[in-house]
Amino acid sequence: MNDRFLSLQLFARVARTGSFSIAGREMGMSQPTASRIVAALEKKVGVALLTRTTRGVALTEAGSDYLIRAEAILAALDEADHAARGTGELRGVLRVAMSTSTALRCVLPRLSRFTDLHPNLRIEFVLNDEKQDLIGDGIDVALRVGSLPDSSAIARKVGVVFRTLAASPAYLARAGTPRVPSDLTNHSIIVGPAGRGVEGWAFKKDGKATSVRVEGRFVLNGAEGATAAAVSGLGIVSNGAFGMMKELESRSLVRVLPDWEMGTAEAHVILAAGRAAKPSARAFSDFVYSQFRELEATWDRVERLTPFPSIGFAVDARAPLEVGT
Amino acid sequence: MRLQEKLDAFTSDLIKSGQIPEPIVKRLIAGIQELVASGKSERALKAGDVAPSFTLPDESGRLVSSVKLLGQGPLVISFYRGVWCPYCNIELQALEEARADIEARGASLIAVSMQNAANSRKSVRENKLGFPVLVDAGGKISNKFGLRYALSPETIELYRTLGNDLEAINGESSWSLPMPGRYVVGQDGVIAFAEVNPDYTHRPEPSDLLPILDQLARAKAD
Repeated sequence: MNDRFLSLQLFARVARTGSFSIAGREMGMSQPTASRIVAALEKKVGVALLTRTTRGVALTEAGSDYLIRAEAILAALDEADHAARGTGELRGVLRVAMSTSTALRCVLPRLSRFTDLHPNLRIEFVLNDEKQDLIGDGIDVALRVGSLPDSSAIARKVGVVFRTLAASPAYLARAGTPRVPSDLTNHSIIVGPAGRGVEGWAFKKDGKATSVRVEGRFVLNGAEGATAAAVSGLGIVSNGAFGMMKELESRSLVRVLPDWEMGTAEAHVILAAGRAAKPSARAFSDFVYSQFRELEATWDRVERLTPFPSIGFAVDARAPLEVGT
Repeated sequence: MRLQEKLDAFTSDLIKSGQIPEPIVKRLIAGIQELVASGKSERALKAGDVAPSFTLPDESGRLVSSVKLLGQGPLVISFYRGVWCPYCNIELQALEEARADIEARGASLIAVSMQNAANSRKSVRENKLGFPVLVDAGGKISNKFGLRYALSPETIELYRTLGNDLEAINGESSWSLPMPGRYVVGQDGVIAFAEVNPDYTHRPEPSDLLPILDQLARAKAD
């Protein structure tokens, strides 16, 4: 076996993807070849690293330990190559995952700032508004809003996004502007990916919690599609304000029920391999982090566009009182 | 006059009249703020959740079943604190005024509190209600809706000072209350609208229920 590193790399990919054929394809070999190389590695190590079942491939306990060490070695090798080049130049393939909106509106317009420094780095984008399977899809870096994967992945908070309702001025002129959440039942509702399966829209204002069951007239599995539907005057959409920033600034969309909060979610950049992440993944994660810092200024601008109240309770605005008689 | 205007007028008259000393007013406000800040209202059941079904006695001891009422049409439920709370009385009167509009849309209206039957009868009598007022002894149903909370020791002391003896009024000693909450439940048992406000001086307008009931009627016709 001339290349112990190749077999370690292959083993790591098989473990991460749960499939000899996917890992083999990634590394340009057939499934039987991949299987043979890993079997040889197991023979050399002297222990079974993987169990093969009809449902796929799973790590043994020894395999799990071995994977962590092997990935650390592979990352160290990458790191050594990277340092030896001395230019800080990154090479190879980086697989990143994020929603279409994040890519179109935040990352792609700024990406050349990063890639101009690394002409030999290829980046594969996996754009999906649903949650990705970081390990199965072989993702190096993911941007995710909301809940985090519970794994060895390292997550770094890049910002807070808030949800809001919006519609086109033409739609509101035709259908009227809702005053309170219950008015939404008289409106045409556009439901994007975040709202699918959720039947209630929940709001907060001055400490009260109000929620309304809405029925989507138009249901879209992509946030960009939902935003476009609203711009086209088809109805009222619920979306992350960030994903509609351009439209809100240009007034092709205006916020609906702007003083009713729909809640916030944290956005994170995730290094799927955790501490064993390769140099390009770390660098990309730092790049995304810095770009989001810059974008926060624009977020504030959107919040100023229409008043967005802070969570709380204004005593001087009115005089709440308890009485016993 | 809208319900909230009535409630605000009541509050401002009460402060002006000096009926309740200012230090007590301040402590009552602090109690409300604390409850608002606790975020408890967000734990209550929301639109899209399945409403718990229940059977509770009304003010005269007749059993009222939510399942049976839902068999006839949507159900509007108002959780309130008790006849000792003037804001609740103003709200119950406003709901009675809206009852014809609610019933015209095929829905039934009920109110639920933790107070005993005698005080529930007083609620019906003094507010001239034509809908049942259910007795949720010990707050079991309020709890299922996520509305019940235990009063802080400060508020308990304050309520005792003001003569709101919840042990006597509710007939049990838990010193707990529901946050005022208004729900509309569709005939499929799913909550179509919910508004919960720990600030009991603010209540939703009854007329805001009507678009919800109209939509439920449209959905049924489809």
